[in-house]
Amino acid sequence: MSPETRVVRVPDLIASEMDGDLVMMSIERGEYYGISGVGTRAWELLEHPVSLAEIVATICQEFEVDAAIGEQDMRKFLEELIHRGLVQTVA
Amino acid sequence: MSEHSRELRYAYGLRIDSELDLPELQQPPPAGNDEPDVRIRLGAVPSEGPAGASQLGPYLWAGPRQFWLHIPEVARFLVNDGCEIRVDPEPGIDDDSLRVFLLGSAFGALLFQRGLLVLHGNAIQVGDRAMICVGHSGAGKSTLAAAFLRRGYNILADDVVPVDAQCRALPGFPRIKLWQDTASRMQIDTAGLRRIRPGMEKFNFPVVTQFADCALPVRWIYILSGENQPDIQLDPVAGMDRFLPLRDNTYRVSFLKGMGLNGKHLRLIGQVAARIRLVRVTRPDHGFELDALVDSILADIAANP
Repeated sequence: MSPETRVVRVPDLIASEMDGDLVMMSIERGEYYGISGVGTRAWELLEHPVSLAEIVATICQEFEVDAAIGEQDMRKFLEELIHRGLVQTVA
Repeated sequence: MSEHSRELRYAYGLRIDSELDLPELQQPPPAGNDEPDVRIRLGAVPSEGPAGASQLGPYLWAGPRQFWLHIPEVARFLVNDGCEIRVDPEPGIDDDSLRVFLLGSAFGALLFQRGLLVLHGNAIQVGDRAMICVGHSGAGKSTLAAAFLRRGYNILADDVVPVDAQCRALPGFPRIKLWQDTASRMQIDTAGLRRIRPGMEKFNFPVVTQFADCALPVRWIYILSGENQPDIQLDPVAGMDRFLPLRDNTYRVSFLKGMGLNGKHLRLIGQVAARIRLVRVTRPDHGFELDALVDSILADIAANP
């Protein structure tokens, strides 16, 4: 995915905060997923369409992460979310 | 007996008007009104689940507002909208057997319909709050409950423990169910106790003076599991790891899917997980000291008030 690709959460998810982490379920599939650490902040940003570059900028600023490492981690995280059907790209 | 002269019964904060005698349940507090929250009726239940429900098993249907269960050679049950249970007994079945499934699975489904998180375990009063012990069948929950009773603690609920949106455990009724081997171990004579069903080595042990009859905030949940290891071990559970043990120890968790409640259930678990200390208790499979287990849990409670 390119840094400008915009992504957003899919609609049919229910999420619940669990002691700082997030547990989510897909209503359609009845499967559960967990997100912890920096990922919970990225998940917040994914409430509205947002690009990889924007997520990386926010995360790197808030968590004092090196830009190259931040981009690598967030790209991997978003690709995983897309692969699991939790996030979709927007045109 | 007419509906008006029958005495109401009381459990989980609900006034219950039942055509089946429920002697193990208390009567409602005197100040309340006479209008029942739940009606239990004896009568015909269709031989199939209701329209709009999905079939979860050969004898089990569940929908958003209705729940249908058939226990072969016992009865069919239809639970409606959190306020009515219809019981259709099979010929010749005894009342004790009806009560086991009525107060178990059928009531569990009714409490789900009323929007409660229903845990499989027991709740004990500690100070002005509640401690809940959960664990799979055979993990030692009722043995532990009996041990807490012997130490002078009060019990709120056994087997079915509903927790409301304010994270309060609701009191059930004053009895625990004990297997013969637990009773023997606790030196409780079962000769005068009523079997929960004819022919079953499990007994209703009435809790006369040690029943906590008000809802109490849940502060601690202990998950009991047996492992082949030498010592009792307590491990706090944090973060997202809190979810699965609470889900797995939900009473009749398989009902939720057909009832369309998995999403609500996740939220309820989140609300509870935010307020409690959750600890996994691993104990040796055999020969562990019950008193040592009670002491370990009480020490953890004292260290985490």
